[in-house]
Amino acid sequence: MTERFVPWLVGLALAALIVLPIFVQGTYYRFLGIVVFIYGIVAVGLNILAGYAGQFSLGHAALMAIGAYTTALLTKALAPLPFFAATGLHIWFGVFAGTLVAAVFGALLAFPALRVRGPYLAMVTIAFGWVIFKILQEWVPVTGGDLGLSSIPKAQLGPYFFDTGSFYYVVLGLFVATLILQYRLINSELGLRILAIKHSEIAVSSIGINVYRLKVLVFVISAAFAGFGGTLFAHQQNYVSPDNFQFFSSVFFLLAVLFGGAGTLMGPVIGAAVLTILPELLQDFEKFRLIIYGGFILLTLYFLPNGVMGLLAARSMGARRTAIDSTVVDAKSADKLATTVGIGLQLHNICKSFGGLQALRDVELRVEPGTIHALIGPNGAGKTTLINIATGFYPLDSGEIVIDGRPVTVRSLDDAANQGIVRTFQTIKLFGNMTVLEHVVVGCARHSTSGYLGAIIGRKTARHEAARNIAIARDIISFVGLALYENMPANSLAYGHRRLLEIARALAVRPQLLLLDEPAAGLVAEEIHTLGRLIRLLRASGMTVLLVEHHMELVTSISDRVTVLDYGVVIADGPPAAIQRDERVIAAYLGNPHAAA
Amino acid sequence: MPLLEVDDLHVSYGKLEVVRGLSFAIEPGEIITILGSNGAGKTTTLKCLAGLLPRAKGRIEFSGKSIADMPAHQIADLGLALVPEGRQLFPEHTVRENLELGAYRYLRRGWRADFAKNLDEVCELFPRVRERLDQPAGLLSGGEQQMVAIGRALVSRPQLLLLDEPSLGLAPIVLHSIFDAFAKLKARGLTLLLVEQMAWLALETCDRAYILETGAITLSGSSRELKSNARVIQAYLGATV
Repeated sequence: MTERFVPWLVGLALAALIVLPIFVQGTYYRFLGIVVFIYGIVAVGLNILAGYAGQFSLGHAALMAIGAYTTALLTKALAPLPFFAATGLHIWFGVFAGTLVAAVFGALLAFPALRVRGPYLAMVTIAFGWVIFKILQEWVPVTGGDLGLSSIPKAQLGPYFFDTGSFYYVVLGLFVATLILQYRLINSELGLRILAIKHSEIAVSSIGINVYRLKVLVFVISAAFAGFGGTLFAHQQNYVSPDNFQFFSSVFFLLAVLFGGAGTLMGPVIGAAVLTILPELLQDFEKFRLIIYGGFILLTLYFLPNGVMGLLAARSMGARRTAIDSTVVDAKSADKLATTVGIGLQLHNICKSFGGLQALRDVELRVEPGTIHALIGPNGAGKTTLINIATGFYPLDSGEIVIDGRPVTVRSLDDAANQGIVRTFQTIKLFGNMTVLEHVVVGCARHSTSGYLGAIIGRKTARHEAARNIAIARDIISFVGLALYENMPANSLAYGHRRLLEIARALAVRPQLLLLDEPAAGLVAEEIHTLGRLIRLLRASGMTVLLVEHHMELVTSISDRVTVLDYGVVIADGPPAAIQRDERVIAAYLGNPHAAA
Repeated sequence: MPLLEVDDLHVSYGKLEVVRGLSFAIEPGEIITILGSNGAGKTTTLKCLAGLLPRAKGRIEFSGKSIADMPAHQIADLGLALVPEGRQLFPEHTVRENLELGAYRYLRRGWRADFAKNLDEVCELFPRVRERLDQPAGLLSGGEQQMVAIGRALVSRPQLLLLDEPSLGLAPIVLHSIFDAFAKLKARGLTLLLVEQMAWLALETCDRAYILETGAITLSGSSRELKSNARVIQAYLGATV
């Protein structure tokens, strides 16, 4: 219900921001407006990083400073030149350069984020902010030290110089543009990846996306916003000093994001607005001002732990499920799945130890292209370890991996996916509250050719491609039988359905070899039957399937060949019927004959 | 008097009603199974009984006392223990520490002798657990972890044990030792409520069973009756794949 009013509310707020200043005397409120917009721009940048991608930064004031100082130095140097004095282009050149330099520093800041997470990352970003602050203080010949840089040129277009009154509208326009950019970004396929990385980096990697590159990109984007805000700040104030960019400013931005609602489009704006305007309103309270301010923030976050917008988001999350039914494979959508050329996989003499424990010893596995190959064995036999080696999750101690006759090295999960091997996980790794459809679209998006920028500026080819990816994702979802759950958040799905969703996400990557780690766990007989049909249809489409499974009925009915692992050693290998009769397999794994029934 | 009585229970996630008017009862000393496909509301029901999810509506009585709206730790204190789906051990703690945490309800009063006795009983039931007592739980195999998860619930000395898919991800050979343990526990007078996808194993073990579909009971009966029911065979027992 609330969702319908959002465009109206935004429109109304925008109209008010355009019209109201006309009726207000003096520049104080316009000045306050500009500050809110600038802080809003920086907070939006931090929101993309912290709210959407889940990487917390307490160094954004430093990135803002880099933008501000860059444009200050550049415009001051260029201003005397007659060309720039006449056109005012130096200002806009400075804004561009400041944004760019901040983005470069964002990439630098991303490097620690590749290794550390959560509070540790926050610590590193604090250190970053502190180093920048110190450089600004100490590098006096360039930065002016504690005194900062003054007489930064005012914003100018041609012969027209902006005063606070007119600069208000410029910054308002840029602020709205920033919000549109954020909206486009988050709703693009890149946005889905950014959302996904917050929940599971391993799973993002498993669908063939390079997590490192993606993280660097998010930092660069976020830093660019911060730097951009900084450049506007410099030209508004005409004076910058290290004091403008202290640690507390970084805290302020993070607080604005959390207060408004991390990971919501309007949250950072509301946060920046409230936290900027509130202290002004509280001026009558004099010495109690900051106490009231702090108390207000404390209480708000206590009662609204997901921020102001989090309250609205929780209300509008309606379920569109009409009926609950057992899963059904939609054979029609199976026809639409692209046929693939399955690849063969051979593992030779694989050895792997953890500490003193030898998990795998001289393991041989030969998976023929276009077949269903099952890998079984007791818990702890090394099945998952073997899969982890085949998908580059663990390095191997010795041995060889051969794909389609060529020896290869598999460096990482995304490397494996790019070589055609995509896996699911025994301990399910999904993207939190992202919907079923979003999960599968992220997988499809790996094949997008139109690029990030196309999606953000809304190019036609990109839009078509996005629409096509959604259509493909829907086919895959009905293929695994989750069509009724398309709009459900993954974390509210039943256990067995989460497994099916993992399969759907893996299929979206169009694997040539699909590696399923216990897909039948948590399914009832009828659902297992359906799963069996699904895997057979995949084989019919040409795909190779390597199946780790305990459900023997499924294994024996669909596999072409079975390999049995016990204590890290292959104890049997052959067609399912022979495996079921094998004495060693019965002793180590099947137990009494009833278990195989 | 039934040990557990559930009457017209409704549980929702936001607007989505998952359990819709569920009613059933368990007599002391019984093993009851709830069968149902994914999304039917089995895990939701168990979580609600254990106090981990609020009910929207309905009555839950445990030994004649209403436990609806009671916080989870109080319910556990009354003797209703849940073995959660996916085991949920504390992976970096040793097996012994995991079990000690299970016994928190009386260990905090310093009743170490009781713990030693209960620990002994768990180790008797699952001898593998004794061998692993000082290892981190995360390094155990899936079957051993499930034994520890059950043990962690047992050392709390429950009257009623709720088990959410104990067979999940276990090799056939381990399944039997787990399910044999349920029969032994019944012989000791414990009452068990089992949610399980391995329907034939569950029906071998239990006295009565309920079929849960779209949040309500659609069929119930003794395990023998259900084993010969055509619908149950098709959907849950799976004669052939």
